[in-house]
Amino acid sequence: MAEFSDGELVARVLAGDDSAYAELVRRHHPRVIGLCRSMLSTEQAAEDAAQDAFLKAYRSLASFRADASFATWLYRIAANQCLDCRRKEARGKEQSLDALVEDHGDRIQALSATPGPERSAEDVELVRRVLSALPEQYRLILTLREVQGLDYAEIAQTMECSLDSVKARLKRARRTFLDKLRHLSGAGGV
Amino acid sequence: MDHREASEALWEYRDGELPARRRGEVEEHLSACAECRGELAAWEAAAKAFFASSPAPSPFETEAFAARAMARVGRGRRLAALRWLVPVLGAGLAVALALPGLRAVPDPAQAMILGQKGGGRFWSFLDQAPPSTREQALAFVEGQR
Repeated sequence: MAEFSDGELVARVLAGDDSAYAELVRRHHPRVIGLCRSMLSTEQAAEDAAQDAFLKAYRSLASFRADASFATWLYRIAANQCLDCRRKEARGKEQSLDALVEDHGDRIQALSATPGPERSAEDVELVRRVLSALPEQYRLILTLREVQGLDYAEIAQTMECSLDSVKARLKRARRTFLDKLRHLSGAGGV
Repeated sequence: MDHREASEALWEYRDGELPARRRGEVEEHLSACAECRGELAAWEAAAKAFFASSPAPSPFETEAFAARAMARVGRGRRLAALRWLVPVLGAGLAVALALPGLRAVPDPAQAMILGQKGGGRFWSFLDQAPPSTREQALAFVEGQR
């Protein structure tokens, strides 16, 4: 199975070979679970969203266009699943980004000096809260670019928007984030 | 390339999305513009702090995830295969509910026995029965007293 392309595996699934879908799941699990972990608050929520995304993809396989990228098609399903999950999570429980910066300014400022693996559990939780406070479309596009490493064309296909829209959204998302963090120092940023 | 053009192209430059010629122009601008260099550096620090990727799952984790996913796929297919039962069960239920209405109206004695068993149902049954049946049922009940 490993020698088949994604398109060939999809054709085999549609012909009745479910083992081909298992290979697609194995092949794309790392990136899908990575996206879900970046977008959602808990490991369980990420696992559930990733499972739901693969199930939805299986049920929608007949609508997949053979000339498209299976990876970006799957990413779109997973991204929409994450956005749905975030909307279902209780609203109003998360602090706004402004409030987080006010309450934890020093710690947020110090985060850039602390590499990931050496962070305390409190710092990991603070990072999670800062990301949760971002508008969901900003968080999604920044996650796709910074964490998943998608290029602009792949982001456009995943978010079903134009290249110009990707450029504009990334610019706004980054400048919004940096402007909020600049309140901490008043001058230089993080 | 002036400062406004360079700051507009900064993020495409940072993301490796600029063609070579424009890339060179932005780099030339950066060498002379502390503000743009500072903006890039601030973003790099923020991205490193807040958008670090989580460790990739192990092959074991991926295999376990795939097993769970395929189990759900299998359950979904089995449920889909039984969907034809829904209209059949629905029709069956409709027939079962309609059956009491298809029974012949019992004679007054049977009506009274039904009424005793069903409590208040006897009186509502009589309300629906033809007049002759009602008279016979009531006469029967009177005769029993």
